[in-house]
Amino acid sequence: MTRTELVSKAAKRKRAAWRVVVFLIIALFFLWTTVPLFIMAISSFKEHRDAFQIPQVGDWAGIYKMFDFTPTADHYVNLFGKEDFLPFIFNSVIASGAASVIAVVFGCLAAYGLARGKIPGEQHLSFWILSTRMAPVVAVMVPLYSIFTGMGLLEASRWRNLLGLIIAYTTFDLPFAVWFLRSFFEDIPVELEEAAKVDGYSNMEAFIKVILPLARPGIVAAFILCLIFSWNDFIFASIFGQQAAKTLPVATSELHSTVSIEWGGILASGTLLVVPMLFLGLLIKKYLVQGMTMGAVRQ
Amino acid sequence: MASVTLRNVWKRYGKVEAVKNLNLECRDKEFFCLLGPSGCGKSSTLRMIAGLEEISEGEISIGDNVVNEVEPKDRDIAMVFESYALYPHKTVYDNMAFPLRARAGQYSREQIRERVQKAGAILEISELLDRYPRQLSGGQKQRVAIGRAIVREPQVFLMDEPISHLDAKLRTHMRGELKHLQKELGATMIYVTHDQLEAMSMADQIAILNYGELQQLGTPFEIFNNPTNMFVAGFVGDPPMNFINCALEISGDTWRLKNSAFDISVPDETRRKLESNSGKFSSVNEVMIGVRPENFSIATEKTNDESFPTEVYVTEPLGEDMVVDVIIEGTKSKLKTSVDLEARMGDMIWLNVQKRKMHLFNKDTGKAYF
Repeated sequence: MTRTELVSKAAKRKRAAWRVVVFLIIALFFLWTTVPLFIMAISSFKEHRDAFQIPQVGDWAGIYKMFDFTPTADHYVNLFGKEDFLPFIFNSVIASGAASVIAVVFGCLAAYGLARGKIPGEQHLSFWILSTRMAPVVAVMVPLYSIFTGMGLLEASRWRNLLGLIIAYTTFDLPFAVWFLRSFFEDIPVELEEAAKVDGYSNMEAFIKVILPLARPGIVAAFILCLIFSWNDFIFASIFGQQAAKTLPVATSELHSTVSIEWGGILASGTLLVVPMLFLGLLIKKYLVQGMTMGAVRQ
Repeated sequence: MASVTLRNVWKRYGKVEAVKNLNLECRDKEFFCLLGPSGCGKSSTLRMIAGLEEISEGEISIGDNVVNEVEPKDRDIAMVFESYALYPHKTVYDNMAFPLRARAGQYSREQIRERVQKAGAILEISELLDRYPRQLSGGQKQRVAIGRAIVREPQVFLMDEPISHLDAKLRTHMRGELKHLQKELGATMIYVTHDQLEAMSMADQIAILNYGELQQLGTPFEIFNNPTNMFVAGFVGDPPMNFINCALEISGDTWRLKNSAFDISVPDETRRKLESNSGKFSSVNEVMIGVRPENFSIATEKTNDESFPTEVYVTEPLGEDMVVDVIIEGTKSKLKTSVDLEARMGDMIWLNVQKRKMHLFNKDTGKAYF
């Protein structure tokens, strides 16, 4: 065997070993992130007694116990029946949906303006916008509470409370949307809108007909991320949502009382919270990967 | 179609003056080239005509209308960009139909289809109409960009280096195509390029710019044969004109051009032009003579009193022609001759300047004496 063959064999072995290591790390990470969700989802279909049939630490053979149960939809039926969760889901959808729409609409306009760099001090402005998101949620809680009280948004009315929630979510979603979308707009060549202008379109028409369609992957991604942020929020909802506009996470947390904890209900409700976001997550991946379908401009 | 007039136009970016006091007129149905090196202000000028750039000072008219304050969409122009700027999310058909759809109701669906198909046929891209820009080659994209411009009948076509990114062979082909298209459509066209060959071969009129200033405005013939200064003389022609330091010595009726390499008499015709245009010369004057590479007579031995010898630095055969580099008066000069000349590196050859085709420039200002 020649020397180069020896070397290449060693290199091959090294590469294979490296691949195994990488695979193991990814596999561990995969289990770490998905197993809790999986246990939650499957347990939400178990009777209370079955749900606590968990093997001892180290008892790998006992894993089968987790799958040894008679499925039941009782917890879900209960959630929509006795607990009347439908309005909470509605509140969650309205508050996070409206805030995300507002954030993306205004985010697009602001981000486009910033991306075209015709605003004096644009760098500082951008940073200021981002910095509004650096403060922890609790830091804005007190001033927002006071403002909302003044505006009458904390009175016991579902729509007032929902409006308060939408405003609160927007204060956090909008800076994110601006910052996120800016880079998408920056990637769209200026010539395209110039071409639209000489082709006979106004600034606004060029923006709507040429720029927005090209930024679509970014816009969809920003929308979904905003949706996920607000959907998962607990702290705003627990304070501004009050009783009248209770959202799903808050309602879930209230499934335990001083005498008992509704594990089945909590698991079912948790599953309801996670599943839509899971699908959105898959959707956003497609859009982010799709990226910009350039190629019209010589690069 | 319409004429385009620029009156005392300035463009300033902060303190930088990109275009300085430019006066031009592109006549109706004319192929007008803005030629110059990069950063000379030619693109800024075009963009001001398009309305994509504000005019700092002065006035631009399209036809009889001053358009300084008119939005690009209302200027009735079509533009082809250097980057082609095709809309990536639209098919070729929709790209070309886009300008027609700008004014709702002006064109019916059938009229749009008719026009797009006609433009597609002219540019030989009919079979590409369903494709997306990303599926096209550079040359095809460029045709689509032109197609998008010609579907309408705008007052003026503006072209910003439209073929500079094509490969050399396709570029040569497109030069002819574009010129033919312009004549066929009877279009007024303003064409920006840094390639003197494009300008010389296509334009009816050329404006040469440098550092934002107009150097010369004229037909390709005038620009080539009567350059007004050394910049124009050196920019147009390939290989460029050779500039050689000389002393113009006058004693009585004898006018001679001298340097360490040669000593030649000034022909009467040239002398008359010098006297009538440039007034007085002292007895010894520093001048620069300009001789195009093809305006040397080359021989392997001395042919007359004014022949002078030089050593061949290198030869570059180009098929039929050959470029010979020599050193005259300390500067490298390029000569163009037939490939039949038997000269190798290091050989001595004898040159004669074809004096009637010689240019004389003021050494300080660079301006031509006549």
